Amino acid sequence: MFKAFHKFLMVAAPAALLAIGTVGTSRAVEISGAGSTFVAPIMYKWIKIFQKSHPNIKVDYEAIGSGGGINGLIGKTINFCGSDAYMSNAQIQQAGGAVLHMPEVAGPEVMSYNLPMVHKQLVMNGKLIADIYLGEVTRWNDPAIKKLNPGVKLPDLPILVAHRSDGSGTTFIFTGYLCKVSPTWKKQVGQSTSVNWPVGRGGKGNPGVAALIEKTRGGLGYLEYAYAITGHFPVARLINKDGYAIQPSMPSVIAAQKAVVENLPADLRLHIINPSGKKAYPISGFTYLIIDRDLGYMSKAKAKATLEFIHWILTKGQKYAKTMQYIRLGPAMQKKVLAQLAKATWKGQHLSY
Amino acid sequence: MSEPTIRSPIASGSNPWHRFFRGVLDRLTIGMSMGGVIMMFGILLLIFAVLLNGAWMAIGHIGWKFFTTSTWNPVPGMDKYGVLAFAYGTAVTTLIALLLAVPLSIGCAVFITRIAPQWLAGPVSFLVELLAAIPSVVYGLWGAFVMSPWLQTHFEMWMWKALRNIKWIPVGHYPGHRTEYFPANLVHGGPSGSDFLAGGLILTIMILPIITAITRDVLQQFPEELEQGAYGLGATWWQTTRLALTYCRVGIFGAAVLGMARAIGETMAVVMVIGNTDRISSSLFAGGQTMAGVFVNEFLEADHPIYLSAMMYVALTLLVSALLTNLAARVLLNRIAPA
Repeated sequence: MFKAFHKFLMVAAPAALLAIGTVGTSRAVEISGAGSTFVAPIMYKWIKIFQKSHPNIKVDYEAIGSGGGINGLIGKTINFCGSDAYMSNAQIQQAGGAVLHMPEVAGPEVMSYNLPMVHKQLVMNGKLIADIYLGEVTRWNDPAIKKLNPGVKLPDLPILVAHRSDGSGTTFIFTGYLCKVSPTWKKQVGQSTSVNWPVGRGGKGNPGVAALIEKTRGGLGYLEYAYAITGHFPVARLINKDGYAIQPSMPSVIAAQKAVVENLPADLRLHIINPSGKKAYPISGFTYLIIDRDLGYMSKAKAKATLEFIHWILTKGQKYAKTMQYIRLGPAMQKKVLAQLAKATWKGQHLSY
Repeated sequence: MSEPTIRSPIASGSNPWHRFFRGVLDRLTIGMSMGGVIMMFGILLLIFAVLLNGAWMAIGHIGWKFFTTSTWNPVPGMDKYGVLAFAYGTAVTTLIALLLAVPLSIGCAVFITRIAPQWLAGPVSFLVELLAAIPSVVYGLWGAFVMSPWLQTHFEMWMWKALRNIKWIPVGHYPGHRTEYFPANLVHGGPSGSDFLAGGLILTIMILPIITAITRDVLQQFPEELEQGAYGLGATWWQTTRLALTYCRVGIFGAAVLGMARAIGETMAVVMVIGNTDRISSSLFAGGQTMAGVFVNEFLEADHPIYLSAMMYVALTLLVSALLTNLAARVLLNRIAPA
């Protein structure tokens, strides 16, 4: 018995050492990111495919929420951050003053409703949505809704307003839209990841909001596009800035990107809220990859691997967006984002990736 | 019954080696259990210190107003934080859960120990314990997609129709000067399915197993001689059962306290069904929020310092109120304990 064990040790121990040695000599670079849960499904897919072609880089992503990701970037505990909300000036100062925001995919938001007796797709505009969320329009047969939907027989039902109960980038973008279309909303409620909702009930995450909408006739709420499409929820067409009723879809969101690309702020911190254009959908946000402008706090190998991974997402990775129900970057937008990535340095030195 | 005399284990035995080892072992055991106690106490203190440290900024900025206001507005620049609505939500849902779960659990435990035949008691017992093994988030999803729509269209609809016009006692005024009557006020606003009642019901199901299991174990300890004695004196089955329940009241009370502790701290399942609004309403059909719930909802994205600090303040409030309720329960327990 003892002898057998001894033999086993004699054979196994060197083998194990050898195994550790081979892993060591291939020198896999490990990089880690954290943040947005919204981007997590496609991020995991990206990582899986990326690692097949780059076996020497190991990427780890933790979906702990955008706020957590930003805190990780501020504390320099991660190599890159995923966030649905861009960083505030105060947060950028905390992170050392210079960060790069790179939109990776766009996520439109849709207004979903539960009116089984209405067979025609509803049309809504920003003012109406704001008034409903302010509690000023409370019933489905309100003249304001009738006016936008001539010929549709609207039921005399109360509107059950649903919103997100958890702090989220989705709410940040949605309330940003309401601020833009309604001065009253801007003054009374404002824009944030969580706000003090004047009316309605909160559901946790997209499933929570969907459950609230689904179970009550007359339910209305905002959902992420990907969630609404995969769940086949009815969605409203929204009237955009130029007065066109727009269906949320990949072309209409790419059109929206195109509308803003000329007037982008230099640091790319924006959401595509109420753009003009014949085909542009009014509410969509970007989800961002955020890194320090100078990656000097990590090793050179890690900095290189981080940039390589981000570059891959922004180029080759884009084609996987569609199957996952995200909206890819339009060509003009992609060029801007790559130019942003090119600004990244390591201890003042530009790295090739 | 006389106490058996206990010889000091350290000094006993004749073999000096045995004596030595026993001494070392005893000391080791005593040391380890004392270490455990100190560690538990230390962890509690540490949690308290970390929360206090995190909440310090909010305590300075908001102070006592935190406990007297119910507005929760985390928009940067607007920042208003009051815990009252969440504390109310925690209290109401816990109360509903206890009111429903305690009688149900006692009934269930009496059934298992005193009514059910052997072949049935085992499976029933097992099924109730199985409820405890289901993860909280599963209860939440079931609550949101199954229980709450059913509540809205059936139970709450029925309750609403039954109570909405019964106006016995005026208890206050709604905004707009309409008088609020009891019990019509309990169903004010109509069925919604995402409300205090749904939160309380999901908690009821969740605390049922722990209260039942402990009550069952306690009832099994009811001494045979008392049982025989009661029957011998001509007591009926029901009178004997009552005697058993009275005899075991301390244990049953303890079970309820454990259930309450779980109800106060429960997060995910409640969040999925309670409607998540920061309003205080006497209606069971109104949406609400609990202290633990607001934490699980907003902590991850609490993105500016005062907001994060206010979240810590909520956690601190939760910790202190949990300690206080447990303390109060302990005091009550001592009152009802047989001398």
